[in-house]
Amino acid sequence: MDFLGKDIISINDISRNEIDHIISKAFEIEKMSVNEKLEILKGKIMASLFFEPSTRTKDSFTAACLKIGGSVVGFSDTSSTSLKKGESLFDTVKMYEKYTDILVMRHKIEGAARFAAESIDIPVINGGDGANQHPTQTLLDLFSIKKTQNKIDNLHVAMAGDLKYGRTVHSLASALAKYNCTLYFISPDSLNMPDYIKEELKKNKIKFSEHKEIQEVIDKLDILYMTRIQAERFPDKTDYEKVRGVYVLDKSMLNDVKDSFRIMHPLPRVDEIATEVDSTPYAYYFEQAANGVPVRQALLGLLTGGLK
Amino acid sequence: MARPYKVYKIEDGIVIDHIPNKLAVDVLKVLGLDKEHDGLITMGVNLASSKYGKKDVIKIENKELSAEDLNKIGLIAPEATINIIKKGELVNKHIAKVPGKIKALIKCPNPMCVTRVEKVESVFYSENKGKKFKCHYCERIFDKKYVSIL
Repeated sequence: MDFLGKDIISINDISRNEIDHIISKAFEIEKMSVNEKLEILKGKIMASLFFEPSTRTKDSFTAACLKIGGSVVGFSDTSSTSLKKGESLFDTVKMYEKYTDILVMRHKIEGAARFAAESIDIPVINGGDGANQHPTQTLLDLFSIKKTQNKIDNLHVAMAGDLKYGRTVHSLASALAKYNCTLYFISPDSLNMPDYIKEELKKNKIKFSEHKEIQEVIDKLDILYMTRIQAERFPDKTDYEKVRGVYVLDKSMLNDVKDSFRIMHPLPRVDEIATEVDSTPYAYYFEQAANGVPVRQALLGLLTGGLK
Repeated sequence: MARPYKVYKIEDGIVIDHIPNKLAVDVLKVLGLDKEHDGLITMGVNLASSKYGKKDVIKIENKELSAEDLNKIGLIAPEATINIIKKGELVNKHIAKVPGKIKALIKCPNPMCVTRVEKVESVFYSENKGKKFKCHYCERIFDKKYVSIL
């Protein structure tokens, strides 16, 4: 499978076979020695262009790059760049194309990463384009599921919280459809999974159901994917107040879960998972975040030719 | 009895028939004929149609259509028929189809889409037989009623 020179823009562009290959490379990287890892991106430079603030994704990419021998240039604050002088996105990425080998970017404008990828010849990885896509999050979620369950096929996966505005759950639901998982969507009415996702699932004959309470399904689950209800997405703040804190997962709700059950969360959390859950064997969200590093290393290696 | 209608017979040009009613002006606009064509154009609006109840018809003299023009018609009036007339005779007939990929014709309704900010041509894919359109860049899917022609 040849990834050399390809872009990672949207999870919808990536086939199941390609996802499986990326995940298998992430597992391989985890087993490599420090010195073996340092050869993967040796002598290469990653442009890290964060037009929008991010700590988690930016630092995960930076750590991933440095640990496999690459170097990083770029910015995470556009106030110190020519963008403040009115430079276009096109001109910015054209400039970085000339002195880097791979470009990672986050931008609040939807489609910005695809436009950048079509404008330059080096590979582009989308680190999030507004409310649209964040494919490396989905890939690390899938890697985390595989790591905890030894498989992805036919699992029972619930997503809870903000299913309307949360892009991670949209992409994850589409990706899990490739693995014939049974899905449970738990949300208040105002934050239901959008119709276009449900239509896509029906078209692909994926079993799913909608629920109001986590307890309705928790004992059937392999994975519970919690999300934060994002205040900043609500045009009307009184609507936010109505649903704020509607789901709080605490220890008492975990009495009847399967032994292999795991709780995931894209982080940051606010109050949707009580801190008492952190010490249970079911909490996996911090490991999940750490899994971003091998997955991003696999992508950096595959796209630049350091891995096959 | 259906009321007869009169539209000029043309010698050379095209007749676009079975346009859903009230859309003839949009077809002229998307083909740029409201500004660029010097030949005779006749337009019938709200004519009786067994298929739609009412339909529009456009006859354009001395005009040939490119493949892109056919796509444009398909976008506005899928299933319109396009008759090519030479020396007063019908020489060819096409049924308009919604194109699968539509370039630089639709304005993305999403104000956060990169096509609304950067100098980049919009690209859309038609879905559900032209009832919905998906933006290549922001990946949002819109009902036809929400999209506007550039």
